[in-house]
Amino acid sequence: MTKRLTPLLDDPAAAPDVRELLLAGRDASVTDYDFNAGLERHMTHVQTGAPLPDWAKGLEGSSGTGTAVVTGTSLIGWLALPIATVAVVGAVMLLRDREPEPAPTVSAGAHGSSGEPTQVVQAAPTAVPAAAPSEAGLRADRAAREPHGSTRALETSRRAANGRGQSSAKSAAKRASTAAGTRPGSSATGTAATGAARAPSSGDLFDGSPIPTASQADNVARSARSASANAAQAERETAAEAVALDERRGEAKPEPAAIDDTRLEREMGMLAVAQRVLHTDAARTLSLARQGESEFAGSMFTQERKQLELLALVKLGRLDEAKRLARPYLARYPNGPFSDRVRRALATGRVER
Amino acid sequence: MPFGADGHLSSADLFRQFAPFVASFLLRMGVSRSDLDDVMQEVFLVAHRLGGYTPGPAKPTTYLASIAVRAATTHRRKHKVRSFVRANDELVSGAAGEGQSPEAAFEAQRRMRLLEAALDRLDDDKRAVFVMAEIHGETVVSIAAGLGIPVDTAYSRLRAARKLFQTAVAELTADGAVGISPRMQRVQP
Repeated sequence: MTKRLTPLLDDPAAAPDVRELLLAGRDASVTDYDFNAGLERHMTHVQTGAPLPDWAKGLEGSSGTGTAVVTGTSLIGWLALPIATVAVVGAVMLLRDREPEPAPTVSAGAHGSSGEPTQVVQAAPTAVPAAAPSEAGLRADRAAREPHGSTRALETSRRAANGRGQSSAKSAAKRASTAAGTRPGSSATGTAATGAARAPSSGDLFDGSPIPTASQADNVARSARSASANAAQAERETAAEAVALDERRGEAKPEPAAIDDTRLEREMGMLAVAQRVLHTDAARTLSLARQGESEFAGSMFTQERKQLELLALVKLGRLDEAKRLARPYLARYPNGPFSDRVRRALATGRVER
Repeated sequence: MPFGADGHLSSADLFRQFAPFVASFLLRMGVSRSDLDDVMQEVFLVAHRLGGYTPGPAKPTTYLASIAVRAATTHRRKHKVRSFVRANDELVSGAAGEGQSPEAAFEAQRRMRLLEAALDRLDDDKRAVFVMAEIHGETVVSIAAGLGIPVDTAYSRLRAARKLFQTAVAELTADGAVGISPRMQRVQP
């Protein structure tokens, strides 16, 4: 099995185009990167104790030997941390709304012979958003994008949790709470969902945690589908009730923002540009952050956008204004992922790279 | 290669000696030019927090590559919806190849785009093994040690990646490899 392979470049049987491209890749040197400046920045980061990137948080503590970095127990940490975070958030949500529970309506396939839910049932909420987002989940997402999104999303989730299809409603609660406090890509839910969606494969680069068997995965999918259908019915009823309630109150309920890839792309694009030019054109960052907030008020990226607004103000020397605007921000997100950076910027008048 | 007394290399040593390798590896893994410095800093900061490199089964290059794979994967996920920013980056950094004639520069650029497009057909696991083995000339044993995977798995990924890469190149150049084929124009950043 471990037969020595001749490099494609030296393999006369390989197509000339293939060898040409590989040769081009081998010969290509990075000429437009200033390695000396890069080393200086690295030393500055080391001396100032720059925080690790999110993706590497689980690595701290593993050794730096010439053995694998992304393997073994450190990976368990990577996977376990976001999953545990989601689980804790979900548990808190459920405990707050706990009522005498009717018999679980999750499909029979997800139960053990004793009638108690098996571990497969517990896995279902994670699998639902990855495999087939339920209406409840989508509604929670939509609600999270509205002004005061977190409140509305949580309400939606709670109402759904009180109806049928509890399993999916739990996932909606998790999704809603995550959407309200974090961002995709780095979010715990995103990671967990991605992890659930990954097809199990032996020797996966990022494996290290128990991988469900094919039959377990089937069970998870079945229970997820069943729970999703139940939640959809419950959600339809809940939505009808909500509309009726709003009509009785005579409130003109704003239409929820559509889940629209183009819109999301635009928002993230603006955010990316605002972030990118923070150190070179803070005025543009400020303008983009404010424009973004007026256009996508209350979206899941609000926290990050407001952080950029504050940092841009610091960068522009408008420290008083930054401090004034930072008060409500830090009160709302005292332990947010960007809050320490904002505090440091306000304290020193300088924005870290 | 100047190692410490026990062969240990600090992150600064690693940067001095292997930054060009890491930069090239990250680009081949799909990191955009404009984000290269940020991702480089992340890789070496992680190497620093891990205590630098201590000799083991993996070479310093595959050790750094194992960190860089994670950084590049995260970066690519984030940037799937930021592709238009990347397009601008590529325009800005398209001035590489000083001293080359315009034709040679164009041809070099065409090849690199073709290479990127073909590599984009591979998933991250296969791409990492393929880039290390076929472009950076690392041995499969060292790659396996660096990534913490069995040697057989590394070979298996390399074989699969080769097939996919060769198929991709054949498809991408099918329209006559004089210019960038219509398909290429769709897939280029």
